[in-house]
Amino acid sequence: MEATTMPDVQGQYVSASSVDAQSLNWLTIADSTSGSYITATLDGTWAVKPNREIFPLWADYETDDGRVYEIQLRENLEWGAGYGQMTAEDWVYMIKNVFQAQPNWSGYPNSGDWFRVNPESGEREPIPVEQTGTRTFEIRLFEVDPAFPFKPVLWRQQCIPKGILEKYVPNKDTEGLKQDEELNTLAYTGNLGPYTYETWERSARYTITRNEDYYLTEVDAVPERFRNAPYFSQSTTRVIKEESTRLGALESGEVDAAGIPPDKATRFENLSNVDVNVTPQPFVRNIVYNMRANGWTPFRSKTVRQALAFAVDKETIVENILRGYGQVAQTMQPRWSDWYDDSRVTEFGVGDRYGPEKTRSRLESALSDTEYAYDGDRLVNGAGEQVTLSIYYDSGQPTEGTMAEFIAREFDENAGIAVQPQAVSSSTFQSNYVQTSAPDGADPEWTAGTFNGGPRDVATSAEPWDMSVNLQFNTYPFTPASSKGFFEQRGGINYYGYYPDEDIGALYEEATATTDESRRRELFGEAFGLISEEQPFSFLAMPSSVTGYATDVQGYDQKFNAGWDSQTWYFR
Amino acid sequence: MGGKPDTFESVDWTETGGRLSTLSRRDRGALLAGLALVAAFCYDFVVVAADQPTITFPVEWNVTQLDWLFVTTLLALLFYVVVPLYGNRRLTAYYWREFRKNRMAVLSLFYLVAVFLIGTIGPIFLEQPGLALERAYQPPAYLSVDSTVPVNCIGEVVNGQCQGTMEHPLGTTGDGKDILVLIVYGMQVSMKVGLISTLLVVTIGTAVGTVAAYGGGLVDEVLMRYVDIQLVFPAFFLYLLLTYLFGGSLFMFIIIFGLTGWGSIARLVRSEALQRAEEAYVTAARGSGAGTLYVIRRHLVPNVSNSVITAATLLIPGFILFEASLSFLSLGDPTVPSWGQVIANGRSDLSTAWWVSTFPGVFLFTTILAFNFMGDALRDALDPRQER
Amino acid sequence: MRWYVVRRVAWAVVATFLILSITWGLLAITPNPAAEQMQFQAAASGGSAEAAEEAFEARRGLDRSPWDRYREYMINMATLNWGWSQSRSQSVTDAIASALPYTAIYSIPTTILSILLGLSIGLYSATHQYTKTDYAATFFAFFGYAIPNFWFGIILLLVFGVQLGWFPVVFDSDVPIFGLGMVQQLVLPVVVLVTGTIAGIMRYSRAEALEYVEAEFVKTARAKGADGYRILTRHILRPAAVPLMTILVGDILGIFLAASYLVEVVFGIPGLGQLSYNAIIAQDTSLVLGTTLIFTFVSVVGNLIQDVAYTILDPRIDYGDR
Repeated sequence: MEATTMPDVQGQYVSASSVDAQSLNWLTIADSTSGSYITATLDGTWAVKPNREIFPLWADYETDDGRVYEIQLRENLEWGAGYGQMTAEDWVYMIKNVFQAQPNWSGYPNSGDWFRVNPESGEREPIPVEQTGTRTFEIRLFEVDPAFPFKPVLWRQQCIPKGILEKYVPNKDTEGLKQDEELNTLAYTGNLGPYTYETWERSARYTITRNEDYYLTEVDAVPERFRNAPYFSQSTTRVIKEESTRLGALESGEVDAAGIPPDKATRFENLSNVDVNVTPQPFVRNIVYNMRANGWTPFRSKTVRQALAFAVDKETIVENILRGYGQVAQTMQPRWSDWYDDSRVTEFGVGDRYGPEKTRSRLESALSDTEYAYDGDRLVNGAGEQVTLSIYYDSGQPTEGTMAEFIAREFDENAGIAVQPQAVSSSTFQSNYVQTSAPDGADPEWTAGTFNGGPRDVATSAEPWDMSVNLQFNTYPFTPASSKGFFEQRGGINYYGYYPDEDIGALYEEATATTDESRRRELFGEAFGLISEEQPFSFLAMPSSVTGYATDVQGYDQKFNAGWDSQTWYFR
Repeated sequence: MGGKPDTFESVDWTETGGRLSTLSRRDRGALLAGLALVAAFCYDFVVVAADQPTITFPVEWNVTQLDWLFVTTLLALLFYVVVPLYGNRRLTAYYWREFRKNRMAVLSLFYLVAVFLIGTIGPIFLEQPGLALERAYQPPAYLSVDSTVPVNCIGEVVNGQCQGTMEHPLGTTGDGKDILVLIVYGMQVSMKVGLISTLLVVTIGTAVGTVAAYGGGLVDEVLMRYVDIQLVFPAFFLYLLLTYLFGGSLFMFIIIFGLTGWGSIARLVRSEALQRAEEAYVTAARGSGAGTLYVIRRHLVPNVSNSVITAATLLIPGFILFEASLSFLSLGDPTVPSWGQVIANGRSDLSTAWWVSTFPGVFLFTTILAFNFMGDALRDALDPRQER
Repeated sequence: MRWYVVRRVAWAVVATFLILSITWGLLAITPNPAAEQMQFQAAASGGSAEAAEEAFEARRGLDRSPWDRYREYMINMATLNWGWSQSRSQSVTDAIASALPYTAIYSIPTTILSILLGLSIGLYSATHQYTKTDYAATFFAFFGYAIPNFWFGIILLLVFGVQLGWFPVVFDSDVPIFGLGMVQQLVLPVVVLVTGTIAGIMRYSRAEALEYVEAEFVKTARAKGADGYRILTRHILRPAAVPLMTILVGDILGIFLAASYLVEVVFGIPGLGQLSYNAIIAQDTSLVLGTTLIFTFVSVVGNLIQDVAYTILDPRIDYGDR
């Protein structure tokens, strides 16, 4: 990777994307394609390296206590379109008048990140931000949070010149801000990113050209390979919706990079003009059990969930469905992460912790107090009928359908439970199965938002369901505390009605507030061990992300978050 | 359609006021069968639990909404196509002579009858193919493929080539499902999609068309202006939004496109019926005191039926093709083993496992081709203007 | 006649308005998957789903009453100020103006070729009914119709694009419009579309021609010893031209409607088909209404022109009393 001689600046790098961006005005977007289009022209504060180290881009930070963060901007940051030097004033103005505006007139999607509960008042308040110098400003959190720099709130956070925002802030002009010419054509990016905007033909191509004045090339403290970055004279993203066409274009050499589904990866590994790069990604696939009143109530028992975890062979999922491009999952962290403690994790569904007898004997004793019992190989209810459960999957995802069918077969063979796969579209699933609320008239003790409308006996989804594989959950390997809401009775995402036996939430909180790195590891290790043991949902696998690159593309890494230094990639 | 016509003398005109009495034997039969079907449906809907099979003998069969519609369609075909053809043998023989001139059409007819029979009966005996990951991507019998394509090869591996076996004559999909069995299931799905939607379209279209033509005036204006809107309104859009709200299913597909696709048939029927309404026999019937409904049912509908049948034959492949397109857009019903689903799921395998989407593709292609040939031949045979 | 046209145009306006209203209503009651996904993401990362929803509504202007929104959209439509496309961040007029050329560039050759081929095959098969060449010609016409467009397209791409390398796999919008490169990359999509549309025209022209093949005056001409070509051009084509012309009028207007989403997706052409489909998927109300307005109006007016053409070309039809 570290080339001995500096690579030449040459060529046009063409990558394929299945969807197009929605906007280049980053204040209005929340999708990753738009994000990647913009990030190529605006570096943002800092990047996180695969080894969880901060790599300063526009800025670095300093903190003494993990509560007050001073952000220090570099000297040589220049806006384009005549907006002068980037200063702390730009940042503070933007944060206070757009991010923290109440009401959120601009519709900035991540404004929630800029509010935190103030323990003194008990209310959600804007995080205090103050300018301390021309190029420095302070963020004063209410409580200690050592992981703050790794959270998306500042990681790769971009900025807009005060001169642009001033036009819209006084009148809270949402439409004007949304349609601003300079924001929509990235005219203000100056020397702030490796590339500058050239053209964007919707649904077809997005082209950016090398930024000759890229500020990072003048910075001394960065590795040699950034010295002359970027090394592509032009970079184009082509929008190719149809997968077979996208893969055909990669094979014929019309594009230099494209994502590959796991079952096609072997074919591309055999091609001489394409290199396949496999990197971990943070999403975990799981079976979610519905523990609310309109699900199968035995799921509420930890022992039942543990017994069922013996029924599904995770290695087959990885080997045969993901074709080997993925890892077995046991808890809410990937095995390679810093927070995964082997000694604490209880494994299920692998090796001798899998099989029909093991499942049946455990399930039988777990269900001994209930109407359910085994009649031969079949699990029957009080009326002597076989237990039949539903499993939902996304109708637009064939791999998910395969997975649901596989789980159905495993449950039938190993647990004697008949499972019927059902397909729903993602939006139907969201509105009829994930959104839970108490019926009209019922006054639940508490509610925790759209997805957790109250105690599980009262609040349910509109349609009954037993299990689902529809949604993949982000494990946040850099900021593990973000997944707290999944494991709390009143967590905002707890749509499945899980009541933990152990207080996992308290462990999360303790870990979050601990500045000592090794102690944090210990606490999180314990939390993820508990999670693997409690089986709030059945963790199955973490698919890898598979990308094919033309053989002459060099510089990419096989690690998590591999694109962090994409401005140093080059053509051989 | 050549239903055995009551001659003018045989009609007891004093009774035409009563509804039931004007029904022919065939209509009474159809009505009776329809009532029986409704009764059976109510039994299934009210008495039998949703996840319990409706009948257990001779085969276990949990009749779905779609099955009920399909049975209704088959009954309608029986009473209004097969029975009249059988009842009027002289005319049938004449049609057959005309139809036979087009050899491709005869071939198509046999092919379609075979697809229909295999598709209706086959799934009773063949179990719906389930997931068998260890059997993924097996090549068809007598053919071979690079042994890296299947996860493990069931047949022999010769020179690094995995040989297909007779166990899966047309190979298997990426899920290890047998393609031959999928194709048989797909036949049934295609027949359901094509026939049920077409029946809906033809029934509504004919009713609206004749009523508009005969009713005239305001009725005509309102109905036809509505048809204008419906023809332009993208039904696809409605389908898409309803899938968002309730999730997509084959049943929904058939209902939506059946209920919104009848505009062109209504127009066709109206213009045909307008010509017929001026004919002497209608004037005569009216002069003898026949009611509006009677004239529509006994004179207008039978006389426009030839054009309707021809148009219907050409509608069927359209619906089948449309279902395949929606599957391609992942807007179909993935739990239904339609040809479109198999083609769509196998399309990105074309460069390694070509057989997955090619075989169902060929069947889809031949079926649509056959319907087209038959439609053309029917037009030639049934078109009275071409009598020689 | 004039009264008839005035009434039809008035109706076209009413119909367009009704369709736009229904479309708007359907969009308004349908939950937006993007909004739901954002709420889920917010909740999954420990944020507030409600705040995410509010932000989304503020961005999309959904925080006003439905009546206000409806009125604004309808007034926009009427004043031809079609608003801002949320999913593309450009004005709806710009979006349509940038997509239209890409649709035209493949639909014009497609329409011309399929009319020419469809007509000639239809006439040929009418004059040579039930011969082997008739079967072959009919088979060719039906072949394209019967083979699913998207599947045929992918196979052609894999064979001629990837394996043989004769044509580029993906449509490149950067290639100059009038150049060899453009012709080269349009070959496959046009082939797929032409084979798909021949059948309709061929069937219609065959049926029209057949009506005259057996007509008394053709028989007379034949008895008088006129040769096949003369019969075709003088006695069959001339009377059949009237209904055929009206079909052609419809087809030429159809150039703008023939945008095929499936073919555009397979070949990656950023035309009107993708534009309107993506707008629906993204529930981009302004853009959906803008494209619906165009499609609706063109097809309503197209119907009208076709009917008027019929009246002018065929004096036997009289709309005076309607």
